[in-house]
Amino acid sequence: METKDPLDQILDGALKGHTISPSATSKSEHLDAMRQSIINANKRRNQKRLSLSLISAAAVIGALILFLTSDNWLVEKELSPTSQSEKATITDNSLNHPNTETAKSAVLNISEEKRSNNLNENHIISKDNDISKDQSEIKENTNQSSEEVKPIEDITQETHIPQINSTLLGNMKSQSFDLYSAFALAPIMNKRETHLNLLAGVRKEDTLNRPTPKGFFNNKTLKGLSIAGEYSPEYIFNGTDDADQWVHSGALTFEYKRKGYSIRTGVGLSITGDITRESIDFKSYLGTTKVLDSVQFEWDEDNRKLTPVFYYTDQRVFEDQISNAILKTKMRYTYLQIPLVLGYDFVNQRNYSIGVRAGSIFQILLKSEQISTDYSGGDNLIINMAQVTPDRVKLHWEALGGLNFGFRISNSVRLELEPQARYYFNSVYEKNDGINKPWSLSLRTALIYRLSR
Amino acid sequence: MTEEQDLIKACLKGDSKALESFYDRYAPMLLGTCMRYIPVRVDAEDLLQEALIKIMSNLRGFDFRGKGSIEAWMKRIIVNLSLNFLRNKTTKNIFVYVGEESLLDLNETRETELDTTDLSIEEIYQLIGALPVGYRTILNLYVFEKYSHQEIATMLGCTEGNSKSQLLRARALLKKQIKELRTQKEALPVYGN
Repeated sequence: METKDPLDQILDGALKGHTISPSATSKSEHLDAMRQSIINANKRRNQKRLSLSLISAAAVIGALILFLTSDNWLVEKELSPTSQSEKATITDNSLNHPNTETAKSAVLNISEEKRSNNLNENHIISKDNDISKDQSEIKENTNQSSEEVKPIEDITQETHIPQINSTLLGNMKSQSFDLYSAFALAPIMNKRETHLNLLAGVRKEDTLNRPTPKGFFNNKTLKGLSIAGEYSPEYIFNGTDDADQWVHSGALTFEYKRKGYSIRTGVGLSITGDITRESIDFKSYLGTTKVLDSVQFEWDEDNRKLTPVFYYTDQRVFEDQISNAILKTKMRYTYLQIPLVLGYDFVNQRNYSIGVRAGSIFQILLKSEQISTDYSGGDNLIINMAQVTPDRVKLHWEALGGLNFGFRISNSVRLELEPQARYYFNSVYEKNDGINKPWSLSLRTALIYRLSR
Repeated sequence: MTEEQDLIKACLKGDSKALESFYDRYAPMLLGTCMRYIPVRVDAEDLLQEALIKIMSNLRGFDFRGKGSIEAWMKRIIVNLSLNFLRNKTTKNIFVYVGEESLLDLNETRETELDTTDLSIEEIYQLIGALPVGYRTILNLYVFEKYSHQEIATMLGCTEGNSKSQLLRARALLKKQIKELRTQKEALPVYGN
């Protein structure tokens, strides 16, 4: 138990509730500081809300796209030989395809060769005859399957392929894999995988046989090259209080893609606003008074005396005390942008792609124009003007990083959404004392046209 | 909704009148608290500004828990800032030991000798301000802010025993100073009736 000293109670009693009023000069400073910190806190709160909204929007868009493309994703998964649970099926189309007919005839030719090679081995001959018999059955079955869709298991059960002894199996395994082996061993070995390999071969052959387009789009030098028109709204953090937080950018870019890697560059324009403050010392206009300019005396004949004639000039009168005001001028700045962005797509499906992008943007101030001003001093006499807001720098550059979501619209056109974060390596102002380096969040929206097909 | 809550709400909207009212209401209390730790008025007023900025920046997050809660919250802010200021300003250990032997016997001083009614508030402030930093800090935290020695030890990064011994010495030195001040006052000639 801590002991209470009588001095503690005396001191506490004497100073309890005692206050000391701050000086008048401190009070005004403190109030300004309080006002500013409230403004900053509210601004930070709004920025936080905005960034959260952007992230949420990006997440929702991503989820929506994944959902919309989920059917294609399932098809890809079904065709994949690595998937475990699905049942592969042979469709009408795949078997009716002219290339499938070619494959069937190839099976017969190969089987003839194989049979002649194996004639000398008696214990194989009988089995081989069975195989040739079975082969014709397979052929019949495949013809039947052109009329109806049947799972592989059903087809292979219907072929009634007899058991092949281990010697034959060993011999066949030791030879290079061919279509004959594929059909012959299918029921015994991995039936599903064998048929899928066969189908893949047919599909590959089909692709090779497809006629290629001629002309400009068949130019090999354009392969992997695309052109994009893009728009990026950008929200800047850590700018000055007056600067417009929104920057609107449009660009024309070229992108070269190869094996998931990409490089992008081009030219763009960005437009942003700002308020330039200038401190004005002036004397207030009070009115106009008449100041005696000259006096002329004229002889009055009637009254026989000299009559003065006064000549006045108007003179403006100003307050002696100098006042100060802050002039705010709304400005618009146009920058030329040159981006250089590298990327890698880690998901690259037919209908969509997801990747990362990183790079830099170099900006050159092209034009600054005055939009409006709020100074309405009227006839006030301006004594002095001093620029409070520093000038904008002519050149600056920023680093950017982002996630890229690409969506196929047609064979040649893609839409890309790219939420980006940017960091400005230098402030946009010439004097940046006390101004933190800005950073921003933006969403690049691009329509991409593939130059080669 | 209480008057304090209304005031906070108006301040958060940036209402100038509300901010001024807020300032008039709480700033003198905060400065009074601050000056017990930092007797130099200029430094104390600077710290007050820092505290007000901090208060305004975090006002939205303040959880109102009844009348007086905001006062306590703000007091905590200014005390923490004062402690940080002292830490930054004092390069060495803030704890000192002044004339140990001469002070300890003063702990037995009678209560009548400690009567401070004849001392003005300013004089008490001066006496507290004249204490070495370590003594003053612990005395303030223990006597006025009602922190326990354990809490003080955690706040200042010292041992509980260190806090206790510093408080003991602070009291002794303060008693000595009160006694000296009273002696000086009595020695002054009284003019008039």
